[in-house]
Amino acid sequence: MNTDKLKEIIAKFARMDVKNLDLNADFKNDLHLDSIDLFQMVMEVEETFNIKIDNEQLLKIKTVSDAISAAQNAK
Amino acid sequence: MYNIGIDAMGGDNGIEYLIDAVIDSLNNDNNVTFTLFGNENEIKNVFNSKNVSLSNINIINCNDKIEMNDHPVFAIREKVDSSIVKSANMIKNREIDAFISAGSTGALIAAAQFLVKPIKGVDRPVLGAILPTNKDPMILIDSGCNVDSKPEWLYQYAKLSNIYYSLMFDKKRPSIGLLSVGVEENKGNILTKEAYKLLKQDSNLNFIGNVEARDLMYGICDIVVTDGFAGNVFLKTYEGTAILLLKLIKEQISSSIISKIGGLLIKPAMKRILKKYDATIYGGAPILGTDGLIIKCHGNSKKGEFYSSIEQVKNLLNKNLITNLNESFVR
Repeated sequence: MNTDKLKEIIAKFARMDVKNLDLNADFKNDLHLDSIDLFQMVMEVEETFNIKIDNEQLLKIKTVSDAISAAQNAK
Repeated sequence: MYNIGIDAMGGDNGIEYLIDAVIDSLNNDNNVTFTLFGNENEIKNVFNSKNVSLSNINIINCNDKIEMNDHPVFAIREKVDSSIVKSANMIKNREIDAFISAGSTGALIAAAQFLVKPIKGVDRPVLGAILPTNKDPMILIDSGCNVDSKPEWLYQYAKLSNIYYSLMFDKKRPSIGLLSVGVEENKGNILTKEAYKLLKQDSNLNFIGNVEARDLMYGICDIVVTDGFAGNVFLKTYEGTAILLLKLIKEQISSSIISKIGGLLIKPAMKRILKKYDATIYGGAPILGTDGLIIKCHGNSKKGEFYSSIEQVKNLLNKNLITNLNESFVR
């Protein structure tokens, strides 16, 4: 999986430069994304990489690194 | 010829009413095609039982059903063979021109957001409920979609409903009020104060300032803008109060022989009032801000509301609602 591309998508939703993306940033508290933003981001990641993130995994995503792990572990 | 999608899986009353509405609509205007999403055999059986042919009718068979207690987002991710998901994909691909559903509101909104997608410049699709008032009908936007909203979203709701109202009711520059706790500019919370500034600076909008909930039913504005939380609280308080009042009046009328006679005397007047406040004549609630025409009907809709919704859709398609909305956000 192209991790740079994945980070680009996350940065786009966080409305920030990918260079400033902190892997430990919390989507809700630090990046101010709500659940709808998060679902939208996940669906774009799924479309881009032709993968499907499990719903249980999806609910566990809190930080940027959680999202990257979920995408990498997805089928 | 328009191709109107109908959800034959949603709603509390089965599919009989909506098929009756489709048949009536085709009897009046056969220049429309209907695409029904649901159980193919069940749909065919209902048409057969009414001795009505399937000309101008397409059926898309669906094997999944999104239930009211399903998580809306998970449902549209998992139940890909459901009427809502299939219709959303067909709207996105411009294979149908509109979709009418009495199914799960949450799933419809999720489909609008994630499958059909918002029009460019809109962050969140929003549900606009049409309410009768003592004057003209009023749109309450947001009526319960986005409970945590941002000031710019409220501004977007105003722009969307401004165009919707103008086209739906042939009224130029409908008046727009912002729901608050006082009419003065400085009244409200952080959200409404910030939204006020955005609404005030747009000369394309006929913004009349803050409005209070107690004045809305007098028809003081055509559009009332609010967040989904306050909007839904207002809507349900309004519905609950109206139902309670009717119940109390009925109880008092039937409490003695004299009051029953009085009840008979006021019956015609009561009927006129109820007719005036019948919201079903306007059709369903539009999901605005999504790049396709989606109408949400009440779960317990009957033939009348489905028929009104079909007429509403035809009216909005004739007036190019979606093109107009897209153009207004490009400016």
